[in-house]
Amino acid sequence: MNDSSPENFEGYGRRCLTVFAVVMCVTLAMVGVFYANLSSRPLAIGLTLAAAVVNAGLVASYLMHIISERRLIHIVLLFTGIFAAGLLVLSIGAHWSVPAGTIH
Amino acid sequence: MQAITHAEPHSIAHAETHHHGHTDAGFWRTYIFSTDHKVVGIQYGLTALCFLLFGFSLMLMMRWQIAHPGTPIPLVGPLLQSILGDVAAKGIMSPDLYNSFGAMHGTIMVFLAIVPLAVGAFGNYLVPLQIGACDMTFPRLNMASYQFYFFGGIIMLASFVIPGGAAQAGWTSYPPLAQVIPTNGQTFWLIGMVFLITSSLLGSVNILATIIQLRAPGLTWMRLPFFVWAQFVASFLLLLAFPPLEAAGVMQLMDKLTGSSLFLPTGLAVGGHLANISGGGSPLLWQHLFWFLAHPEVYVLILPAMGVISEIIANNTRKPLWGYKSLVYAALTLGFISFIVWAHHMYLTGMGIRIATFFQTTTMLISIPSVIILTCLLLSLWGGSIRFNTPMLFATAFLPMFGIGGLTGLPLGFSASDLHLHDTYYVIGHFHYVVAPGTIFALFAGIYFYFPKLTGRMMNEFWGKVHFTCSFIFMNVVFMPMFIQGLAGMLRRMSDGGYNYSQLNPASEGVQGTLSPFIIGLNNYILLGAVCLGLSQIPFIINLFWSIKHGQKVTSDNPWGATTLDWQTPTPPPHGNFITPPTVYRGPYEYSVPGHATDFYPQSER
Amino acid sequence: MDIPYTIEARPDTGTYNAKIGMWLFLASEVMLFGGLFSSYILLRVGAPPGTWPHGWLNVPLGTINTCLLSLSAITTLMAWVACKTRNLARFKLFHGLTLLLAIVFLGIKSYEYRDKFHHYEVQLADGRVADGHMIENDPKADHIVLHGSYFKNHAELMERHPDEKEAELTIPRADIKHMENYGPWHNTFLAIYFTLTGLHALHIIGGILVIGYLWGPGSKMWYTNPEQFTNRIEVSGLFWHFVDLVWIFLFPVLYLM
Repeated sequence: MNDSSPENFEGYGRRCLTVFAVVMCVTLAMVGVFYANLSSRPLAIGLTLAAAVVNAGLVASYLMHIISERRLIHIVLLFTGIFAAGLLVLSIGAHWSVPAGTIH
Repeated sequence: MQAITHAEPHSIAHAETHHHGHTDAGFWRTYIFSTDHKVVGIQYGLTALCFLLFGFSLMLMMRWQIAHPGTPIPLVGPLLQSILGDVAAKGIMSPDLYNSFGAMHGTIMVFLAIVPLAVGAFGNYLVPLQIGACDMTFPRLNMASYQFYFFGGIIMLASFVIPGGAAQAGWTSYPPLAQVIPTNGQTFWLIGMVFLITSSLLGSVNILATIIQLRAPGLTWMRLPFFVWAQFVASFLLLLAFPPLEAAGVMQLMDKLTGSSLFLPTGLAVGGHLANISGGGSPLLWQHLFWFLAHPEVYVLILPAMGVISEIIANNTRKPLWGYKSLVYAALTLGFISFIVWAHHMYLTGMGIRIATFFQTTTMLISIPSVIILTCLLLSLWGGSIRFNTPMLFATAFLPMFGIGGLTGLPLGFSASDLHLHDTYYVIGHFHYVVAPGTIFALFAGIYFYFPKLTGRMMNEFWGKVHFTCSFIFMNVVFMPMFIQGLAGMLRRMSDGGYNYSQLNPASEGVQGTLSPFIIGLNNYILLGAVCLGLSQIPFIINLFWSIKHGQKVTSDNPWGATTLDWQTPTPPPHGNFITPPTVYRGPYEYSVPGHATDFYPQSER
Repeated sequence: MDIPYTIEARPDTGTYNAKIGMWLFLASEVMLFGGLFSSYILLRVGAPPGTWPHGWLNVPLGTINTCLLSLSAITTLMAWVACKTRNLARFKLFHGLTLLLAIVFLGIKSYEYRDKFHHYEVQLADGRVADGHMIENDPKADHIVLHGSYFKNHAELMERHPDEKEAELTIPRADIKHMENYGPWHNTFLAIYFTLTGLHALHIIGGILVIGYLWGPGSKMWYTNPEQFTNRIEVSGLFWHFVDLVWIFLFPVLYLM
């Protein structure tokens, strides 16, 4: 993206609009799942979260240009992701296999 | 070379504002609202030293109350009463006041004294110098970082004099207790913390970006001084570990201000009555979020100290550090693992046993890189012709003191032994050995070592040695008995120093397992040690200020004969630091290189 | 000496200073919202069965807000492209649009907040619960008027469907045991809802301030240093995309699940 002649950005603009269109479709699908009122709540939650992850992935990789960044930024984000996931998994995991009779 | 060629395309406008801002800046721009990393560093340093003294004096008053419960505090008692009112009636410290002094001692020491001194002061002042940069990457954010820190500190101090006094629920602020104590001290604490977290965020982004972007040409990652590596890892810890506490702080603020129940469980009773809350919250959630910060914070306290120590040891043994690469990889591993050990502070919360096992394992694992670092520093002494000047005395004392602090942590890492030791004086002894004779000694060493670079004068060597000897003795007098008290089962956070649970209390007649008079008697020795420790800081304080004007002048820019770039600057370094942009040709610790004219081979010398 | 790499990228890291600074800041923001999302999950998993609400928020409004924010992400990028191709008028247009979308987003959000504060759960003496929006709540009158419906008990409120029939209910004050509006104090779901969206709204406000500055007074830099100005647009854009990214998770987590 260092060359600033207008032609180079035509393809780029089209790519952004494609990402936007996909994000919109996935969002509508997500809302569709809500209104469909599936009998299995876990399935609905799984589908919704999967859709959210797809949307987030698209925005992060294309609109935030992670896909074309250098290794440095990838490493920073990788470790951030690991620690955030660690916080999530371990703090929730601490409620797992609690010895019987030790209610907190 | 790159810096020179890249410097050209800078716009004129930018260059102008940059130069113009500082050539003829007045007093305010030069000393108060300065964007120069060195001024910001010194501001951080002086403020943090004041907080260090303040936090220490809180503790002195508490030690009096512990050793002589219910008797007026000598000298300061009346003063306390006139400032704080009824909580210090007749100069006697009430249990409420004891609680808030305890909470604020922890908060001030960790968040307002040690971390700002280690990262804010040393990091700000030295990192750009050691990597050959003219300033931090974002000088204005740097200034803002200090200002946020300053206001955070003011808010914390202000909370002492509001009605009801400062926060009383320990520096950990566990809910529900923290939220149901009917004062606004906790709200002040939370708002103050938000300021401090913002400050640390700005500071850590700045240090990281500076190390990543502004290294001098030729200064590759493996040529960085270990101090820079330590700051790098510590800043990453601050960057990524503090936000969850900020989230928790915001949530506790919601609870305090809007009456929500994020941390309050269903069925909570306050003062014997069911609290009027919606319930459904989780007190444990706070502990997870708090310790997710507070454990990495321990390594933020210790890593910069290790960095300072390694500079001083390499310099005063006149030989390269033993195992530079091991040190670097150990610091990185330490940083990584420190994010997944936090729940070893929570074994007694009724955590699941599988996860407890996981945290025990990672806690034992993290001792490996710590031991590697300590071993490397110890082996660096081997065969060196050691110069025992004041900085080196502090640095060598750091090694066994930190060793004691680290090794006494192992029994706390196992959930079985932690059941007995949790919340006793053993824990206090353990982490104070890490931080007080550990980190603070390292920071003292750093102050004596870098003083000539800051001022162009040496600190007095004789009084430095007096300061060292007394501090060394009395630190141990203060903290060693705490291990004995803790093993005997004496709990922390008791305003009567354990009297209630001792054989001295007539009501305990026939009760099993009460504390013996010997254990309680140790409180007197600790008080004596603490007072003497306070007195031994007087030579330091006088020395520090006296030497600015009257210390012996240094004859060269590099009085210790050091190799790193910070000593290749004029003394004191001017705005912009280097006269010509330095280029680096070799590693950071090339001492006693065979065939070289001097026993040190500076990084920037071709 | 000047601080290098303020405009051009450092060859070995591939970024200029501000960009690495912004990414580091965003890493810390990831941890901030990571902590909050972890809290949400922990609170939800820890809630006894049948006490976590479903369908309490206005899904159509949430969907509209999602669209607005995603669209503003695109206009930010278009503004950046306009800077790259040195077209100031286009930049002003697209960044103006971003600002407008952000303000509309906040407007809708504050309407939703207001809606929650007018929404009351009224526990009646006979054990039933009336739930709906307050229409009349005159302290002197002996009754209140609610637009909503009756439920058998509090537990029935947890599962709401968009097609519920609502009517105007007049309730004598004598029948009311307890009533409370849907603020953060009402239950844990609303507490975490207000915390998460409130913090997100603060980020939106911060974004509006920065974007507004760059659109208005800050755009003077265009004439002196267009390259650095373009970098500023890119970096502030990164922040704005992150705010969008957070909402992409907030919407399904709070509104749909």
